Amino acid sequence: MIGEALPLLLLIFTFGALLLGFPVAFTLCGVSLGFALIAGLFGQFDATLLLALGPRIWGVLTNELLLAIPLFILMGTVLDRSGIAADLLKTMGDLMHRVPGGLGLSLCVVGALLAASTGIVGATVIAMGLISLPALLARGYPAPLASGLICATGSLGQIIPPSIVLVLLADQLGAVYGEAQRAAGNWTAQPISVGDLFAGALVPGLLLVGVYALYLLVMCWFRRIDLDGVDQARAPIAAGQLMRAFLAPLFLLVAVLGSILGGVATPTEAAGLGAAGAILLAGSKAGTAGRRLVWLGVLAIILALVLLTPGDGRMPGLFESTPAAVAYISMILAAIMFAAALTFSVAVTFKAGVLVTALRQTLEISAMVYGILIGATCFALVFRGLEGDAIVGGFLTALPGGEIGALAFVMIVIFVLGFFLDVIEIITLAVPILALSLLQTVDPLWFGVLVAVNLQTSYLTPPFGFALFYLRGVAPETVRTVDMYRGVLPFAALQLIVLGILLAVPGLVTALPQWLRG
Amino acid sequence: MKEQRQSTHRLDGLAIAIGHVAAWLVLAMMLAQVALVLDRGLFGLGALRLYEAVIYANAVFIGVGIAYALAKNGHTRIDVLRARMTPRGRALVDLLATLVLLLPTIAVLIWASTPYVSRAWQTLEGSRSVGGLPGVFLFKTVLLVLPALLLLPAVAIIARTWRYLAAKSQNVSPGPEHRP
Repeated sequence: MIGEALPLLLLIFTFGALLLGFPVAFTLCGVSLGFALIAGLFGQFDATLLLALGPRIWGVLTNELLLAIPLFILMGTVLDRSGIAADLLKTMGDLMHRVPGGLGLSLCVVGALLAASTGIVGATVIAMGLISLPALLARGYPAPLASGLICATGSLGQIIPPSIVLVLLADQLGAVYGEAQRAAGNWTAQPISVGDLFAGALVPGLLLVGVYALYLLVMCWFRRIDLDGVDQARAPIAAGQLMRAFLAPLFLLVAVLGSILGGVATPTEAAGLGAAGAILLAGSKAGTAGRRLVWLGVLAIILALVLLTPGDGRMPGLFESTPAAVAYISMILAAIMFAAALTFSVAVTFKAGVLVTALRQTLEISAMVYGILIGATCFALVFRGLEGDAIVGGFLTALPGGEIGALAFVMIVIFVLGFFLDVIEIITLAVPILALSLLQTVDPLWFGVLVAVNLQTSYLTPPFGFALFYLRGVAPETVRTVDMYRGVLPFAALQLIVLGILLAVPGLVTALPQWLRG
Repeated sequence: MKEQRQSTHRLDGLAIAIGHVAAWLVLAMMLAQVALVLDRGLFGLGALRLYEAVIYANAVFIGVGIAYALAKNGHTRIDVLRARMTPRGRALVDLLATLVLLLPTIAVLIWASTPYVSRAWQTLEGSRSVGGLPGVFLFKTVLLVLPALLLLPAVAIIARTWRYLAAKSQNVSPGPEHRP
C-alpha cells in the first residue's frame, strides 16, 4: 500500500519543489535522491540501486547521439552572434516589401529558416523581436497579431529539423521504444534514428508555417493591414546582398538537413559541418578577399567530396597509376584550401570577439541541457526503483477507449505540463514514463512528432511560455503584456488544429521517412 | 540577454575561469568532426581514435560546464512563483535548496561514482574497440570532477545568500537574478 503511494508522492514532491524556482537540474537530483534515501531507511527502496548512477551518467555524457547537441548549439550561437541572423531578417523584410501582407509573410518564412538553423528558440524570438517587431508595428499590424506571430514563428525551431529538441526526443524515444517492444515480445524492433524523426517532422513543421501564413493573410485581408505595400523610398536590393544575406544561410541549412535525410552524414557529423559552415559564413563577411578565400575553399571541398571517392587516392595506389596520383593530389589540395578557409574564418571571428562569446554561450546552454538530462536520469532511476513506471502503465491501460484513449490522455497530460515545464524537462521526464506502455502498439515516429507539435504550444502558453518571456524582454513598452497573451492564443489554437490533423492523418508524418528508406 | 551580476564571488570566478578554458573544447570537437567527415569522404583512413576523442572531449566539456552554468546562473529555473517572491524570499529558497538539495546531490554523485571510477583506474581501462583510444579511465574521472567542481558555485551561493539574509541593510545584493 505504502509502496504504491511512494511514486505518486515523489511526483508531487518533485513538482512542488520545481515550482520553488531552484535550478531544475539540481531540484530533480536532490528530491529524487533524498526520496530514495528516506524510502531506503524504511526498507521501501534498495539504496544500492543508486550505484547505477555512475555508469548511467557516464552513458549520458558519452552518448554519441547527444553529441550533436553542443555542435548544433555552436552553429546557432555563431549565426546569432555574428549578425547573420539579423541580416537575414532585414533582407527578407526588404525583399517582400511590395507584396500584400508581405512583411508578415516574410517573417513566417524567415522565422522558420532562422528557427531551423539556430534551433534556439530564445535567440530567434529575441532577434525577431528586436528587428521585426518595430517594423511590423510601424506598418500598422496590431500589437497582439505582431507579437503572436513573432512568438509562434520564433518557436518553430524545435519542430523544424535540424532541431535539438528532436535529437533529444529521438534519444529518449529510442530507448523507451526498444524496451516497450521487448516487453511486448518483439526482440527485433527497428531502432528509431534521428534522421527518421527529422524526416517525419519536416512535413508537419512546414504545415505549421503554412497555417500561420494563411491565418496571417486572412487577418491582413479583413483588417486591411499592409495591403498597399509599395514603398517608393526603398532602393531595390542588390543581387549580391540577397545572395550573402539570404541564399548563403539557406544553402547551409539545406546542406545540413539534406546530408542527414539523405543518409550521407550522421546527425553529429552534420552538426559539426553546420557549425563549421556558420563560422565560414561569418568569415566570408570580412571583405572581398576574405569572401573569395572562403568560397574557394568551400567549392574545392564540395567538388572533391562529390567527384572523388575514398578508394581513389589510397596511398598504396599512388604510384601504380596516374589517375590515382591525380586523385590523391587533388584531395590534398582541396583539403588544404578548405583548411585555409576555415582557419581564416576562425581567426576572423576570434578577432571580432564573436567566437569567444559563442563558445562560452555554447558551454552554458549545452551544460543547461545536459544538467536536466542528468537530473532526469536520477529521477527516472528512483521513480522506476519504486516501480512507478508499472503503476503509470497499469493506469494507462485501464483507461477507457483503448489505445486512442491512452494516446489522447498522454497528449492532454503533455499539453498541461507545457504550462509549467520546459520542453526539455517534459521530454526527459514525462515522455519516458508516459510512452512506455503506449509504444508497444503505437508507431514511435508518429507518436514522437505528435509530442513535438504538442510541445510547440508549451512555448506560447502562459504563465511559463518561454517565447513570451523572451519577447517581453526586448519588446517596447507600448506593447502591453496582455497584448502578447491575447496575440499568442490564436497561434496556440492553430497548433492544436494541426495536432488534430496529424492525429487524423498519420501519413503526413510517416510517408516521408518511409519514402526515404525506400 | 543582459548579465546582471554585481559582485562575482571568488569561488564562482574560479568555476567560470575553468569554464572559459573548457569552452574551447567545443571548437576542437567541431574541427575534429569536420576532419572525420573529410576522412570518410576522401581519404578513408578510418580515424577511430579521433572519433573517440571527440566523445570524451564532450564528456569533459559538459563535466566542467555544469558548474560553469551554475556560477553564471544559466540553469533553467521554473520562475512562476519565483517572479512574485521578494529578494529575501528568493535568497532563502536558494540557501535552503542548496543545503537540502544541491549538497546532498553532490555527495550522492561522488559516493555513487567512486566505485565505478576506481574500477576503471584499477584496470587502467582503455577503449572497448580494438585500436581505440587508451586512457579511458582518465576521462571517466570526469564523473568525480563534475560534482567536485559543483562545490565551488554551491559554496558561493551559500556564502552570498547567508550574507544577504544576515545583513539588516538592503545594500547587499542577493546575487544574480534569473535571465530569460
